[in-house]
Amino acid sequence: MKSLADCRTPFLIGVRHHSPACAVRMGEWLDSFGPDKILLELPPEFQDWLPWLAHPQLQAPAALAGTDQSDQLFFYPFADFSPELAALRWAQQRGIEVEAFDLEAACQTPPERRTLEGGQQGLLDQWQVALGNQDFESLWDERVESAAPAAQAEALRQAALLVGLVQRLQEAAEGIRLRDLMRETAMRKRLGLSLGQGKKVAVVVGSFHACALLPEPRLWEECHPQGGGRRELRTSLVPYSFELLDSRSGYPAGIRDPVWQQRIFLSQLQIPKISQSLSELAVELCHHLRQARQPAGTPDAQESVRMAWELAELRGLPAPGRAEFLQAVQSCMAQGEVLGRGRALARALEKTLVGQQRGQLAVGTPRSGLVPEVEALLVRLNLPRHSHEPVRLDPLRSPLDRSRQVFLRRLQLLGIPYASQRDSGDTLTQVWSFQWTTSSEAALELAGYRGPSLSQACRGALRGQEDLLLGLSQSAECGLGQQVDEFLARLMVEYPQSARLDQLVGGLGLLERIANGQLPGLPAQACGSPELPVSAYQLPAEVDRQVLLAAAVRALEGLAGSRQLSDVLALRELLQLEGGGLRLRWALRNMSREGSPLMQGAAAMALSLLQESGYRVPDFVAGPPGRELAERLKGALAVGVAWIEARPEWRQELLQAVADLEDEPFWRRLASLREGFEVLSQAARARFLETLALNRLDLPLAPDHLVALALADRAGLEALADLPILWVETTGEMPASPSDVPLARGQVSLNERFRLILGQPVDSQNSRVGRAARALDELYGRGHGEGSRAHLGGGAGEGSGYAGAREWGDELADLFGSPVREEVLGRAAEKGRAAALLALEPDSVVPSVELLEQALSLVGALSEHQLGQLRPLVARVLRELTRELSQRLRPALQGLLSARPTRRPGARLDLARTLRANLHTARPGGQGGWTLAPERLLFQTRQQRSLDWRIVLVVDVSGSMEASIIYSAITAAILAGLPAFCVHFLAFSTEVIDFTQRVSDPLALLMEVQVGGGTLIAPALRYARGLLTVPSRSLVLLVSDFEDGGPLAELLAEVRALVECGARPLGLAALSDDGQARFCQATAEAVVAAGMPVAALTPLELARWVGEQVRS
Amino acid sequence: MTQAQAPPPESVYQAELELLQELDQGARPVGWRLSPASVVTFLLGSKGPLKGSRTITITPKFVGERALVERCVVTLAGQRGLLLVGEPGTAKSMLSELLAAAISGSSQLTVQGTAGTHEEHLRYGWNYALLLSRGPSPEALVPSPVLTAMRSGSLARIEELTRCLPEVQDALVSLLSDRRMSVPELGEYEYARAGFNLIATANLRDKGVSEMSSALKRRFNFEVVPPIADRAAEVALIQRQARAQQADFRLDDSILDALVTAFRDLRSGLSSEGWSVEKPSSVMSTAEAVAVASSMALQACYFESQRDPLGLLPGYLLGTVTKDDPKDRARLLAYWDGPVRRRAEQGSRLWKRLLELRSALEE
Repeated sequence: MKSLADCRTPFLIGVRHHSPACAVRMGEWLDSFGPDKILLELPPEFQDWLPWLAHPQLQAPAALAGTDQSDQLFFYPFADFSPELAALRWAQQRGIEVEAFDLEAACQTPPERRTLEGGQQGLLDQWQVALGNQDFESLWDERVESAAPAAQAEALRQAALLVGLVQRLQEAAEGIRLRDLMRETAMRKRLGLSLGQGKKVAVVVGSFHACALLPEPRLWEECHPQGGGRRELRTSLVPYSFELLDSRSGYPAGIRDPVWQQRIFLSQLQIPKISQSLSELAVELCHHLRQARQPAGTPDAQESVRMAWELAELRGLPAPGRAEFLQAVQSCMAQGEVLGRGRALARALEKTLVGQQRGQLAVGTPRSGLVPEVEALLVRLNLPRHSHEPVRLDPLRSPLDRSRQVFLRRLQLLGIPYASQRDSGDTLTQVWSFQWTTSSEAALELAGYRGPSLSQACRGALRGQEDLLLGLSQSAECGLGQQVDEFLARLMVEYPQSARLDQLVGGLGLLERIANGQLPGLPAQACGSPELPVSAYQLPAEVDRQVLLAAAVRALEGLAGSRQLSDVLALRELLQLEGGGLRLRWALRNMSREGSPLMQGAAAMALSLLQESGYRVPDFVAGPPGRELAERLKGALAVGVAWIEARPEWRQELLQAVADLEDEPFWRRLASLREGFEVLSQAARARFLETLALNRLDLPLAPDHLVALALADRAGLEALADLPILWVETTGEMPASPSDVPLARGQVSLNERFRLILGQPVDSQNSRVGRAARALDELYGRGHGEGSRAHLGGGAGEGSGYAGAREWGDELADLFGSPVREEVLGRAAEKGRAAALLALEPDSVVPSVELLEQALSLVGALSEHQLGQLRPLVARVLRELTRELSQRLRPALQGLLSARPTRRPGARLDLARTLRANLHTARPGGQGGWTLAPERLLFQTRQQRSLDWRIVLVVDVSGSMEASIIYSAITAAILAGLPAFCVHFLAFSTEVIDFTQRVSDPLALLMEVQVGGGTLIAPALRYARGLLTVPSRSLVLLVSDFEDGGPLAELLAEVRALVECGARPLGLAALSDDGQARFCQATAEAVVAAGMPVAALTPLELARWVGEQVRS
Repeated sequence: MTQAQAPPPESVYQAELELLQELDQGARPVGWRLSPASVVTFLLGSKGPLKGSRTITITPKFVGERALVERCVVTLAGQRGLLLVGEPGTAKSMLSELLAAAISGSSQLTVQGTAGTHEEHLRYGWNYALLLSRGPSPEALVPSPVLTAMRSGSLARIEELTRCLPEVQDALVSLLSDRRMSVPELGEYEYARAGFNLIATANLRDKGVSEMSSALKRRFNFEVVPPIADRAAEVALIQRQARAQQADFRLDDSILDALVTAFRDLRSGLSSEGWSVEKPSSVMSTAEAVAVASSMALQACYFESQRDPLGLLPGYLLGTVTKDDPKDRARLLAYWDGPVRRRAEQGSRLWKRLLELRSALEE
C-alpha cells in the first residue's frame, strides 16, 4: 500500500469512473505533483477526440463511443463529476499533454480469468476484517465519497488507492480477467515509453489497476493479446443526458442518481454547501410528492434531513452520503407502502435525483455518430435512395437480404421515413419500396440523441416501449438479441400478473417462432452479410412457457361473460397449447355453467374435446330459439368445427338433432341456426356441407356418369396400392353411407334444412324454403372470409333484395314470427343497416337492453336527420327500462329516502310521531278540545346533513361494455333522483369526460357517449379522487373490464391512493341483468389485492350494496 | 420474575445492559440510558467480548439488516414515533421490546391494541370512586402507560396499533406532534419529558384491521420488517413448535419438507425452483403449517387406517387454502398443474405420489 502512495514514477491517481470526490480533488492532486504528461485510462482510438472533450465550450454530460462491425459497443460517458474529465480540463488549461494509454479497444480479448501465482489470501483476510466484507461500490462510497468532505486531499488519494487494492485482492483470489491483464500490459508499455522520455508522468486510472502500474508491479503478470482479430472501430463524441447517464436507464457505464453526484461536485465537498444541497433536494422531493397529490410538507423534509445527518453521525461519517439520504427519505415519507405512496415517492425521487440535464458539444466538433453510419450502410448494403420499382427481399435465403431486412426494420423502428413495406403475397419474401427525403435526414439527426450508433439508437427507442409484445417482436425483427432478452425477462414477470388471454396466447406464439429461428432478425446460426452481420440467438433457459400457460389458464376465468368472438378464438389457441390440466377443466366446467351463451358453447365444445362426458354440442340445436341459441352455437363452432367434421359420430348426432325437429320448430330456429353457422367463412360452410354427405341423396346423376366415377375411384385405389409407403385408412372416415342419414320429420328435407342453415344454394319445390333463403340472405349476403368473393357459393336464395326495410321486416315476421323479426333487424342494425331499426315502430317493440344497445351503436354513424328518427325509439325503450328498474331498486334503497326519527333533542320536532307516541296522555281540555301531555319528544334528524353521500360512477366506454354503460346511466339517473345522493358520472377511455351535468337525463347522456378507444383507468380514478370532499362518505364505482392500457403499477397506485384516503371503492366488472362479466382476471385480482373489491353485479345488487354502505 | 414464562428483556439481558452503560462513551440523547451506537450493539451483538468490570460478549438478539436497526434508533431520537410494520411472525414486537429496554431500561410501558381499546388506554382514565367523592383532581386521574412514559421521559410501546379503531388511534395525533396531553377536566397540560417517544407495531395487510388516518401516518416513521428468509430455519421452527404441542410428534422428514415447500411456494408466489406460483388469498403462515403438521401426525398416529400420512397432505392443503374465496381452489389446482407436475416429471418420487393424489382436490 505504501509503495502505491509513495510512487512518483508514475504518480498514481486511482479513481472510479464517476466520483464527485475525486473530480473535486483532482486539481489539487495534479497541482501538488505538477506533471508534464498525464496518462488516461482510455483506448488510444479516442485520442483525437480528447481536445474536443476538454473544450471549454463543451457542456457535460457527453460520451465517447466506439462501435465495431459486430456491433460491440465501447462507451465512456463523462459528466462534470467524472475524474477523467476533471483531469482533462486541468491539462487543457495548462497546455499539458494528455495521452489515452489503455489497450486498443479494437483488440479481441478472451473472457477467461487467470489465477495468479502466490495469491495473498492472508492479506485479503486481514483487510476484510478491518473494512468489513463489502463489495467494491459500497466500500468506495463509504471510504471515498462519504469520507471526502473531512479528508485531506492526499489522504483521499490513498483511500481511493486502498479500496482499489482491496478489490484487486478479492479478484486475485478468484482469478483476474485476462482482459484486464492484457490492458495493463499495454498500459505499462506506453507508460514505459513516456517515462523513458524523461517525463514527469501522472496516471489517472481505475484504482483497481493501480498496483499493476508500479515499477515493480503486484498482483499482475504479463499477458499479451493473441494476434489477429483486429477490428475496425468507429469512434464518435456525442452529447449525452442525465436520464441516460443514470444506471437504471439501461445504458452502459452509468451511475445512480446523477443529480446527487452533480450536487456533491458543485458543493466542492464543503459541508455547509452539502447541507444546503441536502435541504434543497428534500424540499424539491416534497414538492414533487405534492404534485402527485400526496401530502408531504416542511415537517417531512425537516425530519428526513435530520435523520440523514444523525444516521451519518451514527455511522461515523462527516456528512450524509447518498445511502443515508435515501434511507432517511424512505423512513420518513414512504409510510411502509410499496404501492400508492411508495410508488409516488419512487417517482418523485426519480424526478429529483435523475434530472434532465443535457450536454452540448463545442461548436466545430467533427460530425460523428448515427448519421454518417446510416449513410455508409445505405451504400454498403447497396440500397437505393429512391426506387421506381419495388424491391423483393428474400431474407431467409440470401444473407445480404437478411442484413438489408434487419437494417430496414431498424430504420422503421427509429421512425425514419425511408422504406415502406408492401404486401408481398407470400410469407417468405418481402417487398419494399424506398424514398429518401430531407425529412429522412432530419428524423435521423433527431434519432441520434438516442444513441451513437444504429443499434444503440434502436435500443434507446425500444426502452420507452410499454407494449411488451410489440417491443419483443420489434426487437426480434431488428435483430437485437440483448433487447429480446430484456423484453422476455419483463414479459415473464409482468405477463403472468396482468396480461389478457389473447396477449398471453400471442406471446406464446411469438416465443415459438423465436425458438424455431423463424424470424429473419434472430437466426439460429449467425448469418447476414459482413456489412451488417446478424448474430445468432438462443432463447434463454429461464424463459418458461409453462408460466405463461398457467397465466393463460387463469386469464380464462375472467372471460366467462365474454360476448366477443376473439376470446373464443384465443380459447381455441389455448386448447392447442395446453394439455388439459386440472385447472383448465375446472375453469371450463364453471364457464359452461355460468358463462355467457357464447362462452358456454365454447366451453362445452372444449370439454367434449377433452373427453369429458356430459357435454353434447349437437343438443344445442333443440334448445329454445333466439339469440342464445345462435351465440352458443357460434362459440362451439368457433372452437371446434374441424373436430365435428373429423368425427363421424358427432356429425351423425348433429344430423339427427336437426332431423328430429318438426317443421315449425325448425322455422323458428332457422334464423338463430344460420346466425350461429355464420361464424364460419363461406367456403368453410360449403366444405362442412360436403362432409355431411347429404348431396348424394338429392342430386341424381346420370348412370353413365356414376359408372365413370366408380371406374376412376377404382383406378385411383389400385394406383395407391402400388405405393408401399402409403396406408389408406378406409374405416370410419368414409362419408356416411346414404342409409346412415336420418330422415327429417316434416316437409322440409334434411338437405334443404342444412342448405338453409349453412347459407348454400338451395333449389326446392317448397316456396317457403326459397323465400326464407332470400329473407336471410338479405341480412348475411354472401358471407365473409374465404370463398365470399367467389361466384360459386354465396347465399342460399336467389333474386334481388327488398324494396325497403319495412317489406323485409314484414316478410320476416310472416315467415318466422315477430320475435325473430326483431332479432334479425337488430342484427342488421348492428351490421350498420340503420334503416332496419328505423323501420321499427317505437310503440310496437318489446323494450330490451339488446335493442337499446343496437340502437345506440348506430348513434355515431347517423346523420342528424336519422338521429331524430331514432330518438323516439331509444327514448321509449329507455323510459320503459328505467321505470321497470327503478321499481325494482326502490325497496333496496328504502329508508334512505326519509329523515329518521330520534329522541335526541335536535333541530326539528317530529310532530306527527310525537303525537302518535303520546296519545295515551291525551285528555279533554277546555273549550271542547283535547290537551296532550307529551312524555317522549321525537325529533327529526336533518336528512341533508346525515345523508350527503357522494357517488362517483367511473364508466369505461372503451369498447365492449355497452350493456354496462346503459345500466350505469340508468342506475345513475335513479340514484340521482334520491335527495340524499350527489351523483357524478365520468365516462373514460384514454380521456375522461365528466357527464355529471347530464346525469339525470340518461337519454341525453347515452346519446353523447362515444364508445371506443383505449383504456386508461388510472387518470379516471385520479380525476374521481379530485371530486371527493369527504372521502369517508363517498362511493367510487368503477365500471370497467380492467383491460388497462397503462402500466399496472400506476393503476394500483391510484387504487391504493383511493383506499388510503378513506373512500369506498367498488369495481364492477359488469353491471347488467345477467351479471355476466368479461374482464381481465389478472388485473382485477391485483386491484382486489390493492383494496378495491371487484364483482359483477346486477343493478339491484348494486343498489343493495349502496344501501348497506350508507346505512353502516 | 424468574417464574415468568417470558421475562422482559431488561431482566434477561440485565448484565449486558449494565456493561454497555458502563463502557458507553458516546453522546446520549437527553433521557436515553445508552448512546445510539451502544443501542445498535445491544441488538446486533458485539464483535468480540467487551471488557469492563466484567467481560461479556454481547449476544446478537435480532437477526436482520444493520441499517434497519440504525434507522429505528435514529428515528426514536427525533420528533416522530416509530412504526414497525410487516407480516405476522416477523419479530416486530421483539424488536420494539429490545429497543425500549435498551433506551429506557424498561419495555413494560405497553398498550396492547385491540378493537376494544379505548381512548383512556392511550390517554388517561379516572378512579371513579375518587372522582365522584372529590371531583376531578390529580389524585383521581389514572395515567395510561403512554402518559406514564411522558412523565418519566421514556419509551411507550403500542402493540397492534391498527387493530384499534381509527377514532382511538387518532388520540395519538396531537400527542405526537405537540408532545403534551391536555387534561381539560383539571384545566392543565401534561408535558412530555425529553426521552419520551412511541414505538408502535402494526400489520397493514391483515384482515380485520382499521386503516390509519393519514394525519397519524405523517407522525410516524415507518420501518418494514421482512419475514424469515431461511427455509431450513423455518423447517426447524415448525418441528420445534409441533413437538411443543404434542410430545410424540412423529412425521417423516420428507413429508414435512414437502409441506414446508408447498407453504413457502404458496406464500411467496415463487417456487423454490423459481417458477411463479399464484398466491391464494388466505394466510399461509408458519403457524398454519404447524397446525397442519401436527394434525397429520395425530391422524397418522391414532387412526390405524391412515398408514400413509402423505395421502392426507392434499386434503389438508385444500382445507388451509380455501377459506374465504372459492377461487383459491383454482389456485391450488394451478399449483398442482404447475410445480407439482414439474417436480414429478423431474423424477421426484414424493411429488409423483402427490400428483397421483390430485383427485383429492377435485370437487
